[in-house]
Amino acid sequence: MSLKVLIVDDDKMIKLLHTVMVERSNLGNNPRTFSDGKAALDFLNIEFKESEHYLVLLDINMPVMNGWDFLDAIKEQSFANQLHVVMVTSSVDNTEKLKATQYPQVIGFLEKPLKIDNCNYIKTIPSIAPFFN
Amino acid sequence: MAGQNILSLLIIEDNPGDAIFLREYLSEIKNEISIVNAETFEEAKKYLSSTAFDAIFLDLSLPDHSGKELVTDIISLAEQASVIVLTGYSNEKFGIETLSLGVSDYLLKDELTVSQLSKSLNYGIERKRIERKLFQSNERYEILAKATSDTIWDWNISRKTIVANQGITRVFGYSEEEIIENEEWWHEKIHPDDYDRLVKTLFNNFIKGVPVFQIEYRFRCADGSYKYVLDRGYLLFDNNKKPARMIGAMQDITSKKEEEERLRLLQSVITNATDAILVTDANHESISKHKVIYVNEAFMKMTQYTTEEIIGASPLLFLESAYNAEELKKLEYSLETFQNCDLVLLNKKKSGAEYWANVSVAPVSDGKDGFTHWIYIQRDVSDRRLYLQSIEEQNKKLKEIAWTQSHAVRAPLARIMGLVNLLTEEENNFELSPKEIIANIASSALELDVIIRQIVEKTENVKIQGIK
Repeated sequence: MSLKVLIVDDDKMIKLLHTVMVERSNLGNNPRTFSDGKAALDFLNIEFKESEHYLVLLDINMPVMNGWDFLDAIKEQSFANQLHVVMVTSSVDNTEKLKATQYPQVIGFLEKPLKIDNCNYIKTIPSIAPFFN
Repeated sequence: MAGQNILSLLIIEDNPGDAIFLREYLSEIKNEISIVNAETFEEAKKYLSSTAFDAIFLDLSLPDHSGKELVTDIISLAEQASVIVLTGYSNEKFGIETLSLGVSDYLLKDELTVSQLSKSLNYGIERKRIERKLFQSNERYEILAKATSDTIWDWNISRKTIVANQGITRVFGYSEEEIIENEEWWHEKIHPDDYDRLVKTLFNNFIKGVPVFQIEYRFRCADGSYKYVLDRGYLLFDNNKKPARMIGAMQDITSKKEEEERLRLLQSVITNATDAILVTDANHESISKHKVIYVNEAFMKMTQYTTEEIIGASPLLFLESAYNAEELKKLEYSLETFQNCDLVLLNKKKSGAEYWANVSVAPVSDGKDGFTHWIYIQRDVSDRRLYLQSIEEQNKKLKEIAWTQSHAVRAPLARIMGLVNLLTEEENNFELSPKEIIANIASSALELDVIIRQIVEKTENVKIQGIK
């Protein structure tokens, strides 16, 4: 069992920056990046492997399918139990934070841009910590 | 006096012959007569302590007492009885002297006749009766003059003197040495602004022969301050129908005047207030039965009702409205429990036009444990409410802008922060060169600038409505 990292953000520069941070912190190697929720969902529908767990660094405001729609869409999927979502948003809003707790897949809520420290913190979240021992 | 018609007499005489002689004469004067005979002073004393006599006949020399002392002792014991002294020729001079001690007559034993005795007895008794009446009346006046808080005065017009009771000291503070019993002293105490009016009124009364005089004016006190007085006098005319004397009473009405002044001020406050004021009775617990008894000018202006329309009506006339149901329940409760309450109501003018009003309702106590009225004070807050509403709306819009824009601002800012973070890292093994990083920071900064300009523009477009 291994943990694959997916970065979902419509901002190209952020995608690049987060990729760098994920790699440098060893949160994951060669993270896959997507520009909206739809692209990430399509990938999972086709490429999902029983043997893998997926860590999704999910932005909220995106075209086509935003973060919330993505969370709603995966809820009923068979692979939902193997998805671990950390919301990564431009600005942390308490009402959004509260809304996110309604989704069992959401394990964290962070503000952009991610730094090494943030990535190291993600590794300690109990539901995925075993992958980093 | 013993009985209404029976004359009760005491003869103090040690000589039995003289006593019998006197008895016989007296019984000829009147049938209903009761006579007691004492032979000594001690015996007389006993009778006097138990019986009230109409008259006493006193012999001047008794075995146990005599002379001046006997007379004064008997007079002091006699109380209301007339004392007639009996004396012989040899003692006539002393008999005359006794008159000054308070006896009503002296009689010479040797010259006694029935008619003389009758005259002396009747005269003595009558004189005593009048004396007593006078004494009582004078005593009554003295008590009254002392008891009343008024200053009672007696003006002798021809002699130009004025005499007053202690009121002049008690009410106005003049010491007895200060008081001069003449007109001038009184005249100069009258307030200069009231003097002419007073003199004119008096003069008119004199000319027209009007005996009753009544006037309010200010009278100066010993300390220089003035007191309001209500002066009432009665004018007496002499035989030539000329004013001769005036007797009157000055009542200190300063506190009453001050109270009137205070009430006038309060009334003017209510009349001229810009808040609408309404007063109802408190005869019933239910507001629908309350009747309006007063409204001020501002109330009529605010509601467009006239006095005739609102007086006697229930305050519900202008309070009842679909919006007010909840608030009116609060009011009903306050009215039942006699508590103050503050309401916000959507009231109706006579024209039907609605306006928002803050209404304060308070009960008026009767000074004891009851309540007599309800006071409603209302202020039209429609403008203020409208203003508040538009401020609230504006606030909501500004919040929306702040919320959406914080996201928009945060996006390029997050990018800049991430890029700067990358620049400060020492490692450099990735796709972006420092030059590219800086170029990206610059374009993100530009994006940020545009967004902030948009925020300013949007904020400026949010206007407060309803401001005049």
